[in-house]
Amino acid sequence: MHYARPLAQLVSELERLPGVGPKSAQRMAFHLLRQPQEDARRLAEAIMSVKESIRLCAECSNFTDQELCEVCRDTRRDRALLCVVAETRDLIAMEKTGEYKGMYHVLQGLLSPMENITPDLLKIRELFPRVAGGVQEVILALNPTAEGQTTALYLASRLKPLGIRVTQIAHGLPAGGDMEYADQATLISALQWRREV
Amino acid sequence: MRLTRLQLSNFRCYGSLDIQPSARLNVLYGENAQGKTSVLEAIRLLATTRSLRAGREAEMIRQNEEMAHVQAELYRDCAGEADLMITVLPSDRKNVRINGTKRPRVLDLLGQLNVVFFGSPDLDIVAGEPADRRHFLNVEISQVSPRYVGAFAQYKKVLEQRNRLLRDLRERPRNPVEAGLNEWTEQLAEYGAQIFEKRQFYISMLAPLAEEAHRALTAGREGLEIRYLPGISLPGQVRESSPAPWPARINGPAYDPPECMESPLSATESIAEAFRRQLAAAMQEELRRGGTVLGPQRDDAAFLVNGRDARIYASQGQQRTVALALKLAEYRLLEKMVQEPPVLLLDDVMSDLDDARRSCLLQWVEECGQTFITGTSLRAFPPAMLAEGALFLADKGMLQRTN
Ligand SMILES: Nc1ncnc2c1ncn2[C@@H]1O[C@H](COP(=O)(O)OP(=O)(O)OP(=O)(O)O)[C@@H](O)[C@H]1O
Ligand SMILES: [Mg+2]
Ligand SMILES: [Zn+2]
Repeated sequence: MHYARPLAQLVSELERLPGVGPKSAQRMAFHLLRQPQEDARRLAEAIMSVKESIRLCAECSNFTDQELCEVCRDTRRDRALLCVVAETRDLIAMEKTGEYKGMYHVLQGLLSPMENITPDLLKIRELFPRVAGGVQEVILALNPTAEGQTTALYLASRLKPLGIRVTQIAHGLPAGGDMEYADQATLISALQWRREV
Repeated sequence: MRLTRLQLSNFRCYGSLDIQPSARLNVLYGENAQGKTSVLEAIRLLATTRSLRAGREAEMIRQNEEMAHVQAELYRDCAGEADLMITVLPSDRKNVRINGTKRPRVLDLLGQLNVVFFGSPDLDIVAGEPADRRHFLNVEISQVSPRYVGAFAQYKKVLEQRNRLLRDLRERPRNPVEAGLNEWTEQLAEYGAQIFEKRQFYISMLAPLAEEAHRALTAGREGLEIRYLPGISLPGQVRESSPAPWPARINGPAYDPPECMESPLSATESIAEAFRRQLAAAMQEELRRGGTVLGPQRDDAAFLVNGRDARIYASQGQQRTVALALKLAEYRLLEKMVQEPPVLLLDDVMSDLDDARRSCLLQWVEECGQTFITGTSLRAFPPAMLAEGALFLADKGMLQRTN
């Protein structure tokens, strides 16, 4: 037995979402089917409005619904500090700390030949004019994965010749974490990325 | 160290199993396909997080069941009691709990329980392909070096990415520097160097012990020599500062291995430098071929018996003797590094050995800590062993203590 065509189409669209397998796609589709018309319309409109109104910030490539994102519009922030992140969600994680008062640059991904992500697909070209405009330190806040570290090396080797200070965030113990319970890899990386006190 | 309790649930042919092994010798006997090897495999899974047999990890889950659990209560002379548990999921993923707490990484289990396994697949270390020997090194080094495990996982990822980039560059030629080849190469050199360094060091420690064991096994009639054949040419004396790996053994004291696998972070730097240089020299060839042409993925080791490659020239019995010597050496090395005897797992070894090697093996077991040994019938075991050991009969996915 097959699904009615529109239902099958919804299931197959949902399945294409990241982290959604055939089973959960089915569950979601049937859930939506049982929902009142209103709820389904709100979801559909939310999806469309994201597509229509969200774009990349002209300055830092963060997602925004205006020309410049909230961070870039904020005149009180320190324009001499530039933190490079892979995704908007990393920017949000940094912002949640409330500790960082500099600017951001969102690469919109990390180098990954296997996913066909080449340097020209990332917002790397856009980084250089910004750096030339008075930035004193670039902080690379990229994941300690093969892709994150390769991207960090790629940027560092192109930024350093410009005479800019390039630093990388430490990958180590989570704050409040107990040394005794830290896994070995974390401890080793904490040791590797140690700094002067 | 020893297991004081072992529980299996939906693991291979076992629905559920709960045994309290003896602190010394445990004899598992029963006809073919009754679940003897599966018990050893479960113990080894807790130690290495890997399945014994090739194929998908999910194959360890009992047919038509959702997931497999292996749980053990452990007593360590140095660290006291521990409760280890590993769950295998249909996706091949695994979860790990230590003392009831779920750990973020499966690898956290490594180092909790140390085992030496000896069974028929070990013949492949000598007779099989280079990949079999690399696998042997990976499993053994993982037990003593968490850093190796991390470096190996990163290396695999970097190699895959770099191979893909080189393939792309061949298909769609463009500036390799702009495409990021240098950075992938740098990462490859960094992690690759850690692998080379650990393998070289491990073999340099294992070799004298294995050669000594081999002399004992052959009553001095045959000489074994083990050589590391790295996938690049390594710089000469990379470990000058460490204790000499080749001590004088003639009339001297027996070789005393070091207690630790970890070297200073700087020790790998000269290897990384050599790797970088050789990669730079190979770049044109790599671009032409569209793939990485050198690195630890090309590593091998040679076992020479009386100067001749055992893989090609040795008889079955000679190959088996080399494998046994390696295992004896591994046991001694592990014992030294973790500072207590590991658990010994011997799968179906008695029936294959001649009298001389058998008595050598028995002597080994005599000196060992906790041992699990399997065989198809009690007749395969010497009476002394049966008198001393706890006997377990394997029968259609059940295991019954019979003495
Ligand atoms: N995932 C699984 N589910 C159910 N049964 C399995 C599974 N994997 C293996 N088996 C079966 O478990 C049985 C026990 O296998 P095991 O290798 O432990 O036997 P054994 O006693 O060591 O045999 P032998 O003496 O031949 O070495 C075999 O019949 C095998 O087919
Ligand atoms: Mg078996
Ligand atoms: Zn912005």
